[in-house]
Amino acid sequence: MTRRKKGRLILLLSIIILVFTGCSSKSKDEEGALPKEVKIGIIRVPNDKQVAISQKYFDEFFKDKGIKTKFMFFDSGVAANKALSSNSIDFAEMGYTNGVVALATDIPAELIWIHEVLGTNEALVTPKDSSITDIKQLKGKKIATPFSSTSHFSLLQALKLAGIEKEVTLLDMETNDIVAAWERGDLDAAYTWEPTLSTLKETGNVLIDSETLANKGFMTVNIDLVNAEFSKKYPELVQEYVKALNKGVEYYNENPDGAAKGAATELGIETNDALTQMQGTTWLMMNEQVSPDYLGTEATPGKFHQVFKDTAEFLAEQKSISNVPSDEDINHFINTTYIEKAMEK
Amino acid sequence: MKKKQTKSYKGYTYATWLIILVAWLIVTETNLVSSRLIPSPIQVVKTAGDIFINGYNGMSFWQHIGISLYRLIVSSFLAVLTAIPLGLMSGYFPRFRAVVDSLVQFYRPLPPLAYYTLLILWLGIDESPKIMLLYLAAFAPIYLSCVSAVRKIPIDYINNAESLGASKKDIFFTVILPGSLPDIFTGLRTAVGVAYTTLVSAEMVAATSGIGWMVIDASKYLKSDVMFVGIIFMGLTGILIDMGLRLVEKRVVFWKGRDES
Repeated sequence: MTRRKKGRLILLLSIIILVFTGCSSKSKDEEGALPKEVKIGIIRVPNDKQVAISQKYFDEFFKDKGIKTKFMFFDSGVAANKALSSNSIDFAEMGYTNGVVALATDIPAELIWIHEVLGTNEALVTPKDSSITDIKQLKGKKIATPFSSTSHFSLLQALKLAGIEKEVTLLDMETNDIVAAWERGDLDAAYTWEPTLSTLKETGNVLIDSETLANKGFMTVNIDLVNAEFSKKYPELVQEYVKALNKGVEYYNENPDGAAKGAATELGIETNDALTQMQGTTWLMMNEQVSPDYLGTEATPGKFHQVFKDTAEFLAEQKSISNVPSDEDINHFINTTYIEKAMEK
Repeated sequence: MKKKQTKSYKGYTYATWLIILVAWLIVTETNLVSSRLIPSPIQVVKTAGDIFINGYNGMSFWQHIGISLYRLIVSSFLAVLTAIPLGLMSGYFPRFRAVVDSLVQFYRPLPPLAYYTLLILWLGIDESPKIMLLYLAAFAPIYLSCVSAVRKIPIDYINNAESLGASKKDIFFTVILPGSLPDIFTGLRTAVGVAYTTLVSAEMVAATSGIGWMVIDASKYLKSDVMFVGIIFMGLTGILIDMGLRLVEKRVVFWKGRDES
């Protein structure tokens, strides 16, 4: 009996090894042909991607070629990174801090797009009935934020600026749990994003938001990553993809109300809420994406490279990542060729 | 007889682990699998060393273990205090069982994370919701084993005691309780095991310490080596805790197994 079990165990083990090695060689077949399906990760944020989805821009570039698009919601960049890492999705949307984690942990991916520059839609709030009016007064207090998010990073920067980064208790909580703890009055402050932020603001005051921090040199953005295997095989599709996103931005610039309505329907939220959230951020057209202020071009990297590098160094200092990627790695990771090519046409 | 059997098969256990270790080493050293998916054993040992010496997130590794064990012990202790009397009474008095049993059966299969946000709403973010979650996990196995233990006691024992003039109270303390002890211990061991598996969930929210939290935090940054260290350590402490409980069991229920064999 035991001997037979042992045999089974060895069999199981070899299967596991086979499966693991099999993963990496999967999907290398049918070179050149178009994929049957593109899997796109999304987050619950009304941005250019949601607008593009609601206006069916992705259909123009994919469905009409016979490629199915599958949109999958991810709660956080952490989950999206895991999906990218296991080759389960082709495109992923996340806060750029998780992009840094992706590069630092060698997830084969490329950064191809900035969805939005975060502004007043992410903020540090403190309850109205507390006496705290300045960040410095948070010394010795409890502050909640979802770890490894853009909010987490912004919070750490804000605390550092106030010189109290070592004297507060940071609690790692998902946004819904932050609301729960906030309602009970267990938190002294929380750094979070919309729609949670609006809930907290009802009974709270904003101490600092990501726009203020961006003006002080700590820009935070949401980005899009493409699976490197996918982009290598189908560079044209990646160009089409950024074109669809660009059309989303364009539509928003021309008709914010229409864009908000579409995105709101997709996300199942109120149009007004969607519009408020959208207005708290900055969206970039293709030509702005490749301007020196943001991604820059392949030939002349933009400011965002430095932001990325600074963040990596900061995260390494926090021991959140074990190594800081080199400038070369970062330049390689941020790939603007797709936008540049898409602009040529 | 029993002892001899376990001894002769120990080699198989060691061999299994050796094979796993060798396979792990081969798979990672030959770069068959990226270190992001499976870190090499050498990397894991290095990381473990670093965490033992420098701690994690500004807190020593032993403090992390300590706070986790504290949560586990307090919750298990509370579960023992409440589940044993409730379980024994449920087993002994059918009316009582009718009241309590359905409640336990209802909450028992609920995944902890499903109602964790509610616990935070009710109990806040400090230690209480974490201990409550572990307590709920530990309660059910002890309770259930107590119920079945009482019902397993041969009716003859009770009848004999009754015919000798024992009161209900006497029967409870001299027949039911000692008769149930072996099963209670099995329940206790399961309970601590179940509570231990809930530890990661309990430390998932609003924690900044604990071995389960360490694994969660590492997973956010995809630090698979730290996750391996945490998981391996949790596995080992889990075994150690169970061994400890078995030792206690041997002392307390020294007669266990003699009846059957």
